[in-house]
Amino acid sequence: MTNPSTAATAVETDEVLRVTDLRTTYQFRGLPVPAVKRFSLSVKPGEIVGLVGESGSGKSTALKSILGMLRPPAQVEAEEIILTGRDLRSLSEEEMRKVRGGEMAMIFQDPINSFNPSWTIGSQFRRVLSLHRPDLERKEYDEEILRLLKGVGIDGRGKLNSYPFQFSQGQLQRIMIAVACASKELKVLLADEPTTSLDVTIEAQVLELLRTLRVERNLSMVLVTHDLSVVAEMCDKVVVMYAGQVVEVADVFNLFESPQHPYTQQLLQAIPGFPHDGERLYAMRGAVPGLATEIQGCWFADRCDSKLGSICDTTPPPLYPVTATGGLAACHRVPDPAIAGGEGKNS
Amino acid sequence: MAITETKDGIPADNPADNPADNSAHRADEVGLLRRLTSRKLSAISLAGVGFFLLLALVGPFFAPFDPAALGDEPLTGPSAQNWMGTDSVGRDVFSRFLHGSRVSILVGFLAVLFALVVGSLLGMLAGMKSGKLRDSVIMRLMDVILSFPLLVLVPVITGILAQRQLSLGPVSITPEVLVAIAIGIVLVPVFARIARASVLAEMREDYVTAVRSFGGRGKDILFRNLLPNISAPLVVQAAFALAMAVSVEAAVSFLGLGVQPPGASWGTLLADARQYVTLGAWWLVVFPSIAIALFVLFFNLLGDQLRDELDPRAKSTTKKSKKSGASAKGEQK
Amino acid sequence: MLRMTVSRLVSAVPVLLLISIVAFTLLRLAPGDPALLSVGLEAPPEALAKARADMRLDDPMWMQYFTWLGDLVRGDLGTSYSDKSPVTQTIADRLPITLQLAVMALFMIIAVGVPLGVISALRANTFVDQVIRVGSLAGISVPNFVVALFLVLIFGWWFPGYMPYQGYTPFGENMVESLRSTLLPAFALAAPQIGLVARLTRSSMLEVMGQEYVSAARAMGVRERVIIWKDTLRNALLPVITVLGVQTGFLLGGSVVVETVFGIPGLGRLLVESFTIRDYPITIGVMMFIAAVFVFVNIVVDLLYGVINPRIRIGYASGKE
Repeated sequence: MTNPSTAATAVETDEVLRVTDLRTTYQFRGLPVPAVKRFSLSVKPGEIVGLVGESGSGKSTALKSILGMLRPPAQVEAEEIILTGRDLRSLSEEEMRKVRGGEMAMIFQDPINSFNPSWTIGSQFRRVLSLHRPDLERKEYDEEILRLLKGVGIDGRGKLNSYPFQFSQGQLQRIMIAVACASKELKVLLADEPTTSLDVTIEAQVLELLRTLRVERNLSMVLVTHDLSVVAEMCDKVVVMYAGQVVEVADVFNLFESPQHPYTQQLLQAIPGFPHDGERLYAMRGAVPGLATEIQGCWFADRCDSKLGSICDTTPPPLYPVTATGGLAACHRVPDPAIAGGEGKNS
Repeated sequence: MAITETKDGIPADNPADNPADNSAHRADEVGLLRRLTSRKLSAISLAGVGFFLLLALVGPFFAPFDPAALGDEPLTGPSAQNWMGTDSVGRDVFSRFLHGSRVSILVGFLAVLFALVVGSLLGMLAGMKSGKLRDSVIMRLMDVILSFPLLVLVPVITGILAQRQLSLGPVSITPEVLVAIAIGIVLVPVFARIARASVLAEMREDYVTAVRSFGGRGKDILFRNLLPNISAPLVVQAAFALAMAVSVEAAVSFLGLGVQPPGASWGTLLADARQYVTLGAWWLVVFPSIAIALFVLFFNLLGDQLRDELDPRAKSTTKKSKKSGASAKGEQK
Repeated sequence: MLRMTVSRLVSAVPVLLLISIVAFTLLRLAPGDPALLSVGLEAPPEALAKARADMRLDDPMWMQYFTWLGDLVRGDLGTSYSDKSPVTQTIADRLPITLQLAVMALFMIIAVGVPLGVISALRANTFVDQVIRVGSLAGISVPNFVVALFLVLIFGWWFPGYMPYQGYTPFGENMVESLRSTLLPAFALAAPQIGLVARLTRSSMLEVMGQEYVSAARAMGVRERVIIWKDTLRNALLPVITVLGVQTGFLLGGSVVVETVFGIPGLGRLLVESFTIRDYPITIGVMMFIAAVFVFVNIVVDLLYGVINPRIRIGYASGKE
């Protein structure tokens, strides 16, 4: 993703999914609101990439844009969205539809709302099989559903005619994962805060299930979350978003050890017990600027604890490569060798 | 790593993503957007409402003729002298329209005032004791009122009220006021239901529990805490109810069962017009009809605008806010 | 389902009893002495006393109520003051006409209102949507009797001869003419409701389209057409059905003015006529009848809701509700 010019040779690279310079614009009361302004992503086979940021920073929108789920008046532009060598932007609506739930699927935050309340679980599952499992006869569906449910730890016997509200949240999220993984072609699973609405114990089980799936099927995942503990547990790589833009990309280890972007640094400081035990909890001041605001320089400048000066207010920082870690960070401090690699001056 | 941080450290609420929320921050962002785009509609409805209020207050003073004075030329079309023509006995329709507007609008306001006060009180009393006998009795009674055909319930109630010479001290109650009260009674359930539902919702809020845990009493909770918080949906409903009250008055008077001749209201004007429609006396129908339709339209519009402004959780129509509304719901769990 | 039906019917009993109490009270409070109206003003005092005794007007109020209620349960709503005919019979004679009108109007409301709302939602914030929304709002704002008067003005004066605008042709006499004679009244009844239903359908559709399960279906590659017709519409129509149920009640009662304008001898006309000549047994009888129909229509709507919404159906079956 550092090198957008390699689009033609994408097939040779070992990426399953590569997104470059994605922009998504909503319409709100007739005015365009850029929800995602500059978003790039690269996912290798079997890799779990965490996507972190505050509510409204555009994480979910970015995922939905990649899957081609947004309808006009929402507008999605991108330099490339390449899934296993195919640029999704060149696909017809019908081909794109087959990709969804076929090679790439998505699960959502609120399992109870992810199912149509007035249909049985069985009928919703069968519908997906009829779309993505041409290898199966209609009469084989129920058997396959039971097998898939067993794979996520649910004994589905006698429950296929039950309605969503008859299951618990944790069960439903497992079922949703089973539905999303029904296709044999599945390469990438987009998970939009899949455990936010679950109890802590259930959350651990679901995360474990996702890890198992990654190992068993060599699935790649993009895991949206605002819970940094989940990131630490699950992810190989992390993309940090702020106000619709990627501000930092790093390996999970480097992110926690030497965060480059001030936003990431302040985010980590805001975690209770990390890294200042027993001290007063750090709270980031201010709030994310509105998406419709016009900002000349860095979007984080107003809340930044380590602002450089006028350059932050006048020039938007591009994503600079961080030589020490191999990551990327959109901060003017990065190219300055005197500051780069440090943990900021707050400690 | 024992990190259980979820949201506390991360300030939520992106304004553009969550227009249903009322943080001060979003006021200048989305508030501006909203003002830019929907102000036109608000302005139109406010101007319309203002026009009708003015019409009710000062309209009759501009009547060129005595509205009851019979004339020599019946059923003439609009002219320089009779702007809205003359009726079957030669009265000036414009003068009658000006006087009738005052009656119609006043009856509407009185009816809604009555329904608002009585209905909110009943609804709050019911909601405070939800599931108890008091609640069921009140609400079943409201169901009963709603299930009677209102166009006949109104005249029946008016008839019953009119049997006794009612008076408020030195002020004797005119038949128009009786009609207004009857319409008010019919509208009571509308407010009672909304007040009850709002109270039920508010009772679950933490602040009510807090007041209770401090030993606050029912009456205090009701008037000090609940009333200010449930007033928004009631005010919104009042706008819609005004539209309804005026059209009910018109319908009842049109049937000859409301405001009685020679008094004029939009309904009686139309009643006078009825026989002459097929003779082509269009001016008798058109002007009062337009007045009724515009009045209802402006107050419905006003209700919509008020709902957007005061009670944003209730309904909004843009796709984006729907979405964030749904996600906001999810986050509450 | 059976359990739910029984439970709903049982819960209607107190409401119906309350309705009867209110109706009886209104009947007694309404001005005029039934006995005097029955025997006439010039009747000798003995005849009046006999009439009072016959009508049990000398009994205590609660006894009168139970006598009245007993008759009511047997299907006897009393006799008309004016022509001494049984009220039940009079209602039975007029009912089919109003029913024809109401069914026709309901058909128009559903056939026009729902599709308009769906189109408006699918084309949200486009020109088509704007037109439908403004049209709906305008429709809602014009009361049905104003529409009726304009229709009479149009078809009675400006373009006479195309459509019948006065009177009613009985269905048994000439089917086509009968339907033609209720077409304009039905439209007048339907017009404001069409706007209402269109608006409601639109907002309900938009709400459901914003639900996560619609996104989830889309994320699994379900065809857009299927999402709209199978996932969205069915759930979006739930609130619409409730409102339609309430409107069926209003259509029966609301036809009062429209029937008067078009000279259709239905229940609404009966109501107004009887009230005008102070024939209270008929007035209250018809009001009772309409109220009862209203209650039952709402029960039917509730049950229908249960058929569509599994949560309610199954909640009842397992007694969780």
